[in-house]
Amino acid sequence: MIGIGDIFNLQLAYDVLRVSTPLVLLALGALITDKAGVLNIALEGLLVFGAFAAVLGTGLSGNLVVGVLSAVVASGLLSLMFAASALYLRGNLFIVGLATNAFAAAVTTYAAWLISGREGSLRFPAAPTLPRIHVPVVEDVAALAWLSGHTVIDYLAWVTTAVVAYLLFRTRFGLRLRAVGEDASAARAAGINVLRIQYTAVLFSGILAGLAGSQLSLTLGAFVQNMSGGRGWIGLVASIVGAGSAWGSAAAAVLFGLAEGVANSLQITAQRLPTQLLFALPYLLTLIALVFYSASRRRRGSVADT
Amino acid sequence: MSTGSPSGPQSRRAPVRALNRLAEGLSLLVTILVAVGAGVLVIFLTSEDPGASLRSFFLGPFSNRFFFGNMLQAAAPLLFTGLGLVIAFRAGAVNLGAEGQVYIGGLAGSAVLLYAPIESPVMLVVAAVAAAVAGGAIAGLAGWLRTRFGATEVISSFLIGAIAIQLFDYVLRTYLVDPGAGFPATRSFAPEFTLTRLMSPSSFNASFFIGLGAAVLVYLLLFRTAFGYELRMTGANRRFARFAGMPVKRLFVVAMALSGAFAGLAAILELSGVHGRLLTGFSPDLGWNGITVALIARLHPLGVIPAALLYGYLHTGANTAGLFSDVSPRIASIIMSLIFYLITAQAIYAWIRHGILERRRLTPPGTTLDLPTADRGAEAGG
Repeated sequence: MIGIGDIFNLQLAYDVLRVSTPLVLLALGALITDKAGVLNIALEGLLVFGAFAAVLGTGLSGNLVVGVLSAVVASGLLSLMFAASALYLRGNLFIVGLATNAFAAAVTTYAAWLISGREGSLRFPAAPTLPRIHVPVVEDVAALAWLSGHTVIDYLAWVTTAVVAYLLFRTRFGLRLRAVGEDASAARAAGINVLRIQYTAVLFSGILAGLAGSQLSLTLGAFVQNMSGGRGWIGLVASIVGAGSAWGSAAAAVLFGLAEGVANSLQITAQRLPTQLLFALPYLLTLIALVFYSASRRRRGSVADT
Repeated sequence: MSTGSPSGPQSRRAPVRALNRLAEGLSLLVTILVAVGAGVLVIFLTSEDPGASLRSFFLGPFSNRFFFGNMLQAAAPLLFTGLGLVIAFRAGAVNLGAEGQVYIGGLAGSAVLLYAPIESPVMLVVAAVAAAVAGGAIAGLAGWLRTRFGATEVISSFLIGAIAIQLFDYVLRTYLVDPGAGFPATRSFAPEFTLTRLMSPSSFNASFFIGLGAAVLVYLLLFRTAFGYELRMTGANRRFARFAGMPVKRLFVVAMALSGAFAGLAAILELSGVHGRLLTGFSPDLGWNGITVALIARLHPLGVIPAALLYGYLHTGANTAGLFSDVSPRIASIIMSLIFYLITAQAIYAWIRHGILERRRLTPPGTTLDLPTADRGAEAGG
C-alpha cells in the first residue's frame, strides 16, 4: 500500500517547484502574446529549439552561460520567423504555429544527426550541467529546505513572473500591448504601432521559451527528441486558465507541475504504474482545466455563443 | 485590363477570376519551390557529394518499381487524413489531433483483426468501421467540448490526441504485444486481412485506389449534397448558416467526427496494407502531414490527390537519398515544414496577383483559402 504521505511530502514540493519552471516560463510567454492578440501555438517548437541550442552551445563552448544565451537567441530567432510568417506574410496563425513546431522538430533532429550521427539525441559528455544553488539559511530549515537547491533558471522564473505582472499592468508598454490585443484597429487609430508590439510580444515569448528549454536540457545534460513533452501546449492552456494575470498563469502552471510531480513520485513509489499514464496525466489535467475554465466563462456570459 | 472593357461588369468577371486562379496556382508553385529550394540548399551544405545526393533525391523515386510503388503507397494514407482535414477545415473546425486519431483508429481496427472470430475479408470491413468509429469518436469529442462548453477545439483536439497516443502505446505494450516480435508489435494479421501487393516488391496496394475513390466521394459529399452545402456554409459564414436555420453546432461536431473517421481509416489501411500488424510508432506523422496536404489542396477534395502524391514523392526521394547518399531521410520533414510555413501566406498571393500579374495595388481580395482565423480561436478559448 502507498500512503498519502509517501507522495505528498516536502520532496514533492521540491520536485513540483523544479518541474514547474518550464511551464511557468512558457505560460508567461503565452500570456504576453495572448494579450497582444496572438495565440501562440508555436511554444512547443520554440521550447524544442531552445533545448537543442542550449546543449549545442554548452557542448561546443564548455560554458553554461554561452549555452543559455544560444538557447535564448535560437528560440528568439525562431519566434521572429513565426511572427513574420503570420504578420508579414499574413499566414494563418494556427498553421504557421504548427509549422514552427514541425520545423523545430525536423531541424533539431537533422542537426543532431549531422553532429553526432544519432537522430534521437545530442549529448556532449564533458559538458557541464546547470548547478544547483544552495541558499544558505533556507536549506538548514527543514520546512523550507525544498526552496533551496534549485537552478538559477528556477529562481529566475519567479522573478520573471513578477516582472511580467509589472510590465503588463503597470507600464505604458503593457497598456499598449493589452490595447492591441483588445482591439487592434482601435489601437492603430490611437497611434500605436500594432505590428511592433506584436513582434515584441512574440520575441519575448521566444526568449522565455529559450530559458525554459535550457532548464529542460541543461539539467539533464542532453537533448532528447520529444523532450518537450507537450509543455508548450500545457503552458498555453495555463495562460488561458490563469485568467489573463501573470500570477494566475504561473499558479496554473504550478498546478500542472503538481500533476507531473505526483506522476513522477507515483512512478517511484508504485513501480508498476505504466509510464504512458505518467505522460498522459498532464495532458488530461490540462484538458479538464481548459474545459472547466471555458464552461465557467460561458456561464458568466463573457463569451458569445459559438 | 479591367478598365477598357466596354461590355460591362458581367464579362469582366471571367478574366478576373482566371487571374485569381492563376495567382493562386503561382503562389502554390512559389511556396513549393522555395521549400524544395531550401531542402536543396541543406543538401548542398551538408553532403560530401551534393550532385549524387540530389540525383538520388529527385530521381530516386522513379528509378525502379520498388521506389515508384512506395512513392504511390506513401501517398495513400495521406489521401485519407488529408480528406478528413479538408472536411474539418471546410466546416471551420481546426482539428489538430489527427495524429492521435490515427493511432486510436489503428488500435481499434487491429484489435478487431487480431480477435476476429472468422478469417474472412469481411472482417476487414468491420475493422475499418471500428477504426473510423474510434478516430471519429475522439475527434467528435473535441468538437462537442467546443459546442457544449466553449473549449476551443484548436487545443482540446491536440490534448485528446496526445492522450490517445499514450493510450495506444499502453494497450499495445500491455495487452496486444507479441513477446516474440522483439519490439512493441503484435503478431501478424491473418493473410485474409492483408491487402494484396500490386507492384511487388514495393508495398503498393489497393488502399491507394480506395483513397482515390474516397476523394471523389468527399467531393460529391461537399459540393453536390445539401449536407455538404450546410457544412461548408458553417465554415464560411457561421452566423449566416445559423440564421438560415442550419444546425451549426451539430454540423461542427459531425465535421470533426468525420475528419477523425478518415484518420482512423488511414491507419487501418496502412496497417493491413503495409505492415500486416500493429506496431509502435507506425504513423510517419500522417496526421500532421495530412494538414499540409489539405492546405496544398486548397481544401479541395480532388486537390488532395496531387498534394498527397507530392508528399509521397518528397518522402520517397528523401528515403532514396538516405539510402544511396549521405543525406538523412529527415530532409523531407524540413521541406514539408517549410511548405507548412508558407502555404497559407496571403502576402505571397497578393504580391503575385497585384504586383506581378496586374502591376498595381488593389485592395487584396484574399485567397479562396478560407481558414478559421485566430480571432475566432481566441474568442472561443479565452
